[in-house]
Amino acid sequence: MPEYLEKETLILGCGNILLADDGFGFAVVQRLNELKETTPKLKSETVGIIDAGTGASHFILSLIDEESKVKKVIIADIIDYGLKPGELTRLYPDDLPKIPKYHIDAHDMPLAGMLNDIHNRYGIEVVVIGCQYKYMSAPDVCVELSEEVTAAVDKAAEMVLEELEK
Amino acid sequence: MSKTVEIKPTTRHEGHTNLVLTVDDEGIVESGAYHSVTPVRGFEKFLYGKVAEFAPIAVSRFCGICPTAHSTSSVEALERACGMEPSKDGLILRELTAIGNKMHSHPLHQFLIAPDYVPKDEYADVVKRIQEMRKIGQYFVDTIGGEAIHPPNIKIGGMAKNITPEAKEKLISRAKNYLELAAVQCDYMMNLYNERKLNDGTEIPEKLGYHDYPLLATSLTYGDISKFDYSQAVEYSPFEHYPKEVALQACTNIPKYKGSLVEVGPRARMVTFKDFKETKGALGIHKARALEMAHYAERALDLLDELNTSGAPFCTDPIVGDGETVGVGAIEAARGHNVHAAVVGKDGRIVEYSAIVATTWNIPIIGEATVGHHYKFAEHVVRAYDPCVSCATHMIAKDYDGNTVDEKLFK
Repeated sequence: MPEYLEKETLILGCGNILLADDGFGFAVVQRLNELKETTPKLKSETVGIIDAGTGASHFILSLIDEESKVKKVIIADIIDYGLKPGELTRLYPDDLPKIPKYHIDAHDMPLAGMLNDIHNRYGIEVVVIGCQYKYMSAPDVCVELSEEVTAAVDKAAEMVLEELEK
Repeated sequence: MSKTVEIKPTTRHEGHTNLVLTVDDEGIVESGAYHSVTPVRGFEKFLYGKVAEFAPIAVSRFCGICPTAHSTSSVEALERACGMEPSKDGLILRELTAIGNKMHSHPLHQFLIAPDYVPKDEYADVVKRIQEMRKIGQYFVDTIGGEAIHPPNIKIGGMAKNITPEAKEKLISRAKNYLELAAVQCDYMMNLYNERKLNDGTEIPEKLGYHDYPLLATSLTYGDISKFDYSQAVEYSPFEHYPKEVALQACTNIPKYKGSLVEVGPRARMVTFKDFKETKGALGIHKARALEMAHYAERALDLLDELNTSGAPFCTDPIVGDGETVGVGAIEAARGHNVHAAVVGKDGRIVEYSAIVATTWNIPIIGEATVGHHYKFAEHVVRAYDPCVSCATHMIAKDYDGNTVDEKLFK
């Protein structure tokens, strides 16, 4: 099994840096990697920090089973919950969209459904540090976060650290 | 009287595509158009003026499935544009990462088609084996590439890091394990394919998916630029290929090689390099894919044997071009011949960049390959190609009506 499935806590920065505010997750991962030097907890063998891009469901969540050691998954991603741009909120499995079945295709395996699955089946604690986006450029490419979302990155990294304490 | 059947979206593959078929009174497909509705082309423009090192990072975001393949094609193209000679061990490590990606991808495709072929009572065992194989593939990508999804070690000039002797030993034992699993999985799938039946008993027409286009592959496991002449690759607008009403929705260009559409992927590789006999038909592609898995593990073992873990992983030549030389990287991704081309300026910034991704080659062929059989089989032709049509964004959108995800994700 790949080493990341042997971590107790996985921090996944989700989203695509090519699509404006969708690069939020990557920015949080970068910030956490900077903080590693001064934050021993982030360097712990039991914590994995992964730039998950748009591949979290494929390469990570769909490989989690009874053998994996993962106890908690912390996701940093943008959300569209009608909040103020840049506003951060914590979401738990109960707050995520209820998707009855993955009937779309493998490319679009909804993250929310898989998060619910690993929570319900394997008792993995799931928390999403969600940031309301301002601008999502798809299908156009824009390699830049909006000011509001940029301003939320440090705070989001702090929220991830708080989650590591829990 | 002909009528039109549209299947949209087509399912159990990667990406957003539609099938538009004209069928006769018996439901037999008279003409077929398969096209992507996910915008991909024109994507590369954003790289112009950026430093070359940004390209492999950015292009690995084309797609959530094949980041490794895109980064690898990209660094190969940029090295050639800059006249760099990557280090020997760097190239070995890079090929191993690319192989890991395919060791993960092929079993995943067998999972996607399992509901078509695998009997229900055997499903759990098959999926379990697939999961074991995917984990080993990902062990390779994670250990050598440095991370699970967007491997940061893939860099211009080689790889950012070599691996430890201990990691090498572990990889050897995983590759051997994969070889055993692949043998069982391949036998199992080959028996199902040879029966030429879906798991509901429906017989698959013998000539399903036949077409007369040539095959294109440059290597069995990695990519060999000497076998590909980029000047012979020309991209046409969808309006030159599809009927107008289809072209209006189509989002990929139509690439031709030496004046012809070409099929790329597992069958193209196996026919070109392993004398595989089934040169036509949808099931032939499934079989080639099943057979390839063992070749990956064998090649990985050879490469690991060759790898010097204290060798330099990358070369330190400057990353600058001449503003003119077109560097081409052609890598055999899981789905086939994946081409990136780049020009780098004297300031180390990108002057031009272009990609013809693997599935783009196959897209126009897939529609045509549905012709001559009932439209109920059309999706099976699509799935045989394991099409991966970049690229969707994933985000969590609130279900305002209580139970569905925001539809804009799927349009």
